[in-house]
Amino acid sequence: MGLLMPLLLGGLALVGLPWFIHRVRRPSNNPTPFSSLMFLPKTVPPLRARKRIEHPWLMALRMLALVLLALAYARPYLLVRADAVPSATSKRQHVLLVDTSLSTTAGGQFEKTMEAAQACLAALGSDPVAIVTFNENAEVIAPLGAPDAASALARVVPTHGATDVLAGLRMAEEVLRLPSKPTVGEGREESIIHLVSDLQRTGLPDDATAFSLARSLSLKLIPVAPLPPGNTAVEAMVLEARAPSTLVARARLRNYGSERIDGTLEFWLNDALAASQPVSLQADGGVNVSLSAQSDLGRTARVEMRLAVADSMEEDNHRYAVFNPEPVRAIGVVIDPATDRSQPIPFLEAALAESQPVPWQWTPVEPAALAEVEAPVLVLPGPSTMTVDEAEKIVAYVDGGGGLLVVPSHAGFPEALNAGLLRPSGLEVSTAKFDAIDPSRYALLSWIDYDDPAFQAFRSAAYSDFSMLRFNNYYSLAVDPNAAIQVAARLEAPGETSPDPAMVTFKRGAGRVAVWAFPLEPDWTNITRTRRFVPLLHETVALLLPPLAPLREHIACEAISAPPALSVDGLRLRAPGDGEARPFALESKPGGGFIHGFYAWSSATGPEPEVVEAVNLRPKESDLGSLSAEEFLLRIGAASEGVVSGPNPANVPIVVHWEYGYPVLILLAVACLLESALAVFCSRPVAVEQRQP
Amino acid sequence: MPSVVQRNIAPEDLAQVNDLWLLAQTLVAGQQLGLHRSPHSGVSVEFAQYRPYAQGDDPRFVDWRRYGRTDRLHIKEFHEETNMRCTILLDCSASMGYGTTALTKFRYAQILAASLAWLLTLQHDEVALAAYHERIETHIPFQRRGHQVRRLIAALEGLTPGGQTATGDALAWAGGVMASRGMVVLISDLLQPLPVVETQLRALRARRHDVLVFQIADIAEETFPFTSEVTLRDVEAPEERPADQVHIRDQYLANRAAHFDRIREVCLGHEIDFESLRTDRPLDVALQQFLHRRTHALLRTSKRALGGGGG
Repeated sequence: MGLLMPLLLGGLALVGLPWFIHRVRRPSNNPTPFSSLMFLPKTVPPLRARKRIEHPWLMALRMLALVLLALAYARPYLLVRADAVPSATSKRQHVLLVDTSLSTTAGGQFEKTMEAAQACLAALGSDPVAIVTFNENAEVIAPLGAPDAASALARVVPTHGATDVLAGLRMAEEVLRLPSKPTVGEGREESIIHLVSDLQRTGLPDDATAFSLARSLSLKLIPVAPLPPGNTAVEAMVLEARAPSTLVARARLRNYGSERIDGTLEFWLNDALAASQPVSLQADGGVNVSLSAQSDLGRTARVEMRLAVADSMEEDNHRYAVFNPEPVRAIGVVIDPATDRSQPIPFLEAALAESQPVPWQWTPVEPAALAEVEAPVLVLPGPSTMTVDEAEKIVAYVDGGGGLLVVPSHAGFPEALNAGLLRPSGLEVSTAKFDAIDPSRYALLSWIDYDDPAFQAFRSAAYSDFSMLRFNNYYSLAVDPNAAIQVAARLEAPGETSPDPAMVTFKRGAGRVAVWAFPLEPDWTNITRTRRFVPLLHETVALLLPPLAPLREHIACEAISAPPALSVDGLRLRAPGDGEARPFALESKPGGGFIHGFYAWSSATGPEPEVVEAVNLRPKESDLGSLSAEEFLLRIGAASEGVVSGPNPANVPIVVHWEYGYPVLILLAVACLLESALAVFCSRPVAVEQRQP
Repeated sequence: MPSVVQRNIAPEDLAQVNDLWLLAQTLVAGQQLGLHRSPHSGVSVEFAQYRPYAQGDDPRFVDWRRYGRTDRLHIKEFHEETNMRCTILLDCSASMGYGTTALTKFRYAQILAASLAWLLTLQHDEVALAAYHERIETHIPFQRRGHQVRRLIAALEGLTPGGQTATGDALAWAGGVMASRGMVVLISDLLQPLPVVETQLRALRARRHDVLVFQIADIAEETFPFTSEVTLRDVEAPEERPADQVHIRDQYLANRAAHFDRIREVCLGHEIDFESLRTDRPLDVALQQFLHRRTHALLRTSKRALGGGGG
């Protein structure tokens, strides 16, 4: 029998406390006066000569409770010897579960792992064996009873994946539960999982105790020698573009070792060293570092942070990220060359061209070219007339996924647009609110939906005031209450009780349309002369733009899927270290996973890579702390018979144990209950016998 | 049959009053006298002897029943009518000072003695007081002068318990100082060896004294309530002895019961009235119960003397 935490057995020093308390409570030397001792027996020995303890059973129970408490904390376990080597006549089937995670490459651990696995395989003799390798995922490289298990094992290589022991155990369970086991003999067979692993601490999730190995399975642990201590890693990296041409990389560095490590952090940009900085990492600590370099922010850049230190595992000293410039999106402004450009168009042009950080560029679009518009958003300022054909092109543009902002003209609203675009959606721009413009009469934005995407940016108290906007006239928008039209703001004219829609949006087809009720002419509204116009225009345009595709970062061992922006036909992938790009066929993962680095996609039509993706290691794999065999088994709640583990310098499976923590706690609870009951009993007042004179 | 009014004055209430005179009056007041004066003026109710009739004797006292049997005339003689003399022997040894309730045994005894003195005085009996421990500490002899009871009560007030118990010696002393028949009232806890006490009680009865014994006890003495190991110290003797509720209580109670059973047996055998009082019980009730029993006993004696004395 042993103790997992023997130091806590020092709590036994408290066992003497109940004896001391019970002894102290013996009567004091102060005698009690009594009328006469003539009726007391004369043969009672003196009190001092007697070593009696008050309530000895109660004291014994309390001491027992303290013993059990100390024992429970010390976590006793019982060694159970078992025959680790299966006999030739036993009916057994085995799964050899081999850890191939990145941590096994630290300090030459993988060679030891393979030696242990091969020795175990050899010791199993003719018993049916399956070989399963695992990192973050598990893979069966040799099914149960396969004749070429040894050669399959010889081909196992380490991967760049993190560790997930439970994934391996589940796969091993799955293999051993296969209904057809051709090599299984008659009678009850024994199923054994031989786990060869470095028992990395991060290889088990926090809730590993929720996992329970099937009771029909035995687990034999073959721990490889403890991982070498001390490892550093570039844990994370983010990129930031600073106009006009600076790319900033911020990295998080981590030192898992117990000693300070000094090194150099290098910023590699497109395979060239762009910047470097000496770093000093304190023991078991981390630091954030920032490096920058000049870069063309309009082009994709491959960024690598490289930590030049001497540590146990070199792979995690690199971290990769791809800078993809945000595409400049065109905003088309429909301009009729025949119209007067002195009116709202210049306002719009100026507003759309407002300084950074507006990620778009406006471009004029002539009505004749509406069918070929490629810009994702069109702004339609104030056409008073429109042909049906032009309206149809605009409708087709919206239906095809385009965004459209309609700003009416002071000269009227084209009926073709009403008929072709607005009325079918439940909206109509009708007549002007007032027949004439009176500078002294104006409407205000009396109602604003700050949850509408166009106004969300104005929620804060500093920007939510729109009272300076005055509208001397505007168009009445007839909104079908049954239509899915969002009214973002309303205008309230003087003397009116119900406000009128001022800004509305609706979806049509794959696109979206925003309609303003007011022209931008200065005599109609002063909005273009207020600070709210430019941000309001930008917000309205932004909600009409389609969302950008998110950047993708992969983790080693995850599958890489083809980027949606490229056509699958003729797609090629260039992996790190590959001389040639390979055709797109990534169902099989070489070596059980992906290595870290840059993967460049290109289509057959163009020689230059069109999409570059970064594959990185999982940060938790950099923590090389390992569990002891006992702790590993306790954390996974291994309780089935024949559970074995032990130190394994010569990869010989050894034995362990049943832990008796819970039974001890149950005994402790029972002892406490008995003690409470007995204490109540002992403290009861003694019944006084009333003697009848 | 005297009627009584029980007032049930709790000992805790008695403990609040320091004035023994007031206490005595309070306890006695409301109770009708248990002992009546003889309806026969000048004649005691207690028969003494027969003598032959002589010329000039009062023919009312001729025992005609005896004449019918013997053809001889005899005159019944009665005890001379005198006021009864009562000596109150009060134990004021150290053990009487023990108490676990509102009243110690000694205080309880003081109040009882004062009440008895007052009661007897009201009956025109003469009362003397002797307080003792290993010797007679205080003696207030019989006196016909007025305010005797006040002197007695004042003497009672000045007593404090202490010393060892010598009840037998006190009884012997009482028998010696009382020249004629009277009453001896012993108030004690009787926590001493019995042989000497028994001898002296018999001697008093042999001299035809009327003896009343009030045994005073504390509830702790009767129940031995000690729940943990204690060392007990005798208040009279320099002795300590360990006590253990579990092992000793039963033995203690048995020894005590045997002791007082012996005393009762002796008293019963010698027509000695024995009353056991406990300090946590109302004194007036105990007093009244005693007087009630006492009255009945005396009436029975009177009837025998008047109705069939000698016949």
